[in-house]
Amino acid sequence: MKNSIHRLENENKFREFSSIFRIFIGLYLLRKVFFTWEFQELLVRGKYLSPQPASSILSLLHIDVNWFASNFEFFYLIYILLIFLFLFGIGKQLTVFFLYVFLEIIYDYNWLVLNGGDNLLEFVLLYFIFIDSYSRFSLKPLRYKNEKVARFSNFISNLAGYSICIHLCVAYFMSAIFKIHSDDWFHGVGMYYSVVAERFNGTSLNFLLVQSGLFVTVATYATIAIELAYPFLIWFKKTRHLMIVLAIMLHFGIAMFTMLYAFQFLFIFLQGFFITNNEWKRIFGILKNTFRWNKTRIRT
Amino acid sequence: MRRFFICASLCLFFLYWGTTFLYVAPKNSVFTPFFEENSAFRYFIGQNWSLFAPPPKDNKKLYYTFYRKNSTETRTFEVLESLLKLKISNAPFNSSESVRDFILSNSASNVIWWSENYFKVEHEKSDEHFSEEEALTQKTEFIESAYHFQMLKSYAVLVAKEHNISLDDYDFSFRLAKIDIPDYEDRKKLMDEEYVFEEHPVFESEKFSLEP
Repeated sequence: MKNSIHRLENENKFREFSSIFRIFIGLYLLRKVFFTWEFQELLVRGKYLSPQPASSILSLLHIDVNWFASNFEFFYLIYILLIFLFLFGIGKQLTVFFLYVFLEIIYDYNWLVLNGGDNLLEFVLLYFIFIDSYSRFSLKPLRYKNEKVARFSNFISNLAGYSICIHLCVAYFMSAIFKIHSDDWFHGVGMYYSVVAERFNGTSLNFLLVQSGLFVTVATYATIAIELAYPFLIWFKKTRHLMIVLAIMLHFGIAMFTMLYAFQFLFIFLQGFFITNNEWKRIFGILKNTFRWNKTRIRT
Repeated sequence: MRRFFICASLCLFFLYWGTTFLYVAPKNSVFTPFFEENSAFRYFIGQNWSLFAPPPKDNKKLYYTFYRKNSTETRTFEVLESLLKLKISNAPFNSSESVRDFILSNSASNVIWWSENYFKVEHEKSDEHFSEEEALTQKTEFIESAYHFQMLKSYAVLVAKEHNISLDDYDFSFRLAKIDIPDYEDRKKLMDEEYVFEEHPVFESEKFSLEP
């Protein structure tokens, strides 16, 4: 136990990827604002909507629901400003805290258009309040003069980083359990209904592919197998990379066939938390060299 | 001091994960009562990972009918089918259509679910007996007070504007129908262009005014 605590204090294990993921979160939230903006009038001030019950955060802040509904543009303005501060790493954890509060308030009025990805992102943002994600792409990295404070910051940051990993595992595991419990998935036909429903009929191939019993059965059971195995095998060095590749393939397939793009890309990006700092440094090194090599080639 | 903070953080960490795990687990008699509707738990750790389980078994149709006042003229529009066609043809750049689809499909699913299951749920909750008429009134009141119903009702204004229907001159109603996805054994029907899928009406609202 003591050794594990020391290890968590010595180094921020998510230093490299958390910086990249901070940018991803910022862009994800901006994208959501951009595409839901035209419906805000309907979602918040729809002609026949009765005032919704106050969200817990609005109640805690003693803000009247009707006041929010008539001034939601103002809330959005601050929310967008916070996203930009977050993107540039300004205000560090304090900015993330306020961003989380505003996200909760805004999501309370947008819950009808939220998917599993948005739900998971709420939790990831909560964990980001504790993560030091400012080593890259930040105007100023976090530095502590006191060694003890720095070690405690690493410890907290690592607990929050592992929380993201655990949350991903919980999502997969529960999804597998519920699928096994569902008759259609249990009997190997769950994939058929999921990809032929009009809402999720992502490609013209969907109807054609489900004509093959083999495809439907293999795809159904493979989905359950990956979701069930992932939470266990992702923690072992020998099976980690295989699980990451399988998860990426699964999400890429779901995105393509069911049109749930942002949701699936979030899950794909989250896989990065299972890649170590050293591996990320190597990846950055390769990218840097490729970029330099291309630059030289263009000049010559 | 350092030890205290580390212990406190670890306790919080394990407490949080223990609670979350129990929350997301399938319903059971021991832990589910702690996470009742409107509880703080539900608000702060609310999440659901039963992705596509059970999978969808039907497609929905949503019709808005506009009635010209003092006239027999009516105009009817089905909004989900055209929206989903647009969503598919614009994929993968269909984020706007996706948001609209979420608003309409989620609302429609909820109204359909309650119109089909209201009596079953209410019977479980109470032993009181009402006349058929009273029960039906209660059901209508319940559905109409729900956010999803109000959303579909509010959406009528958008449909009217899209089709240049004057808000002052028309009333409207909407109805929902389901089309079953063919069973897995009958999946060949999906490729049969001449096959006609049967529509089952599920819900019809009363007539409302569009006036601002």
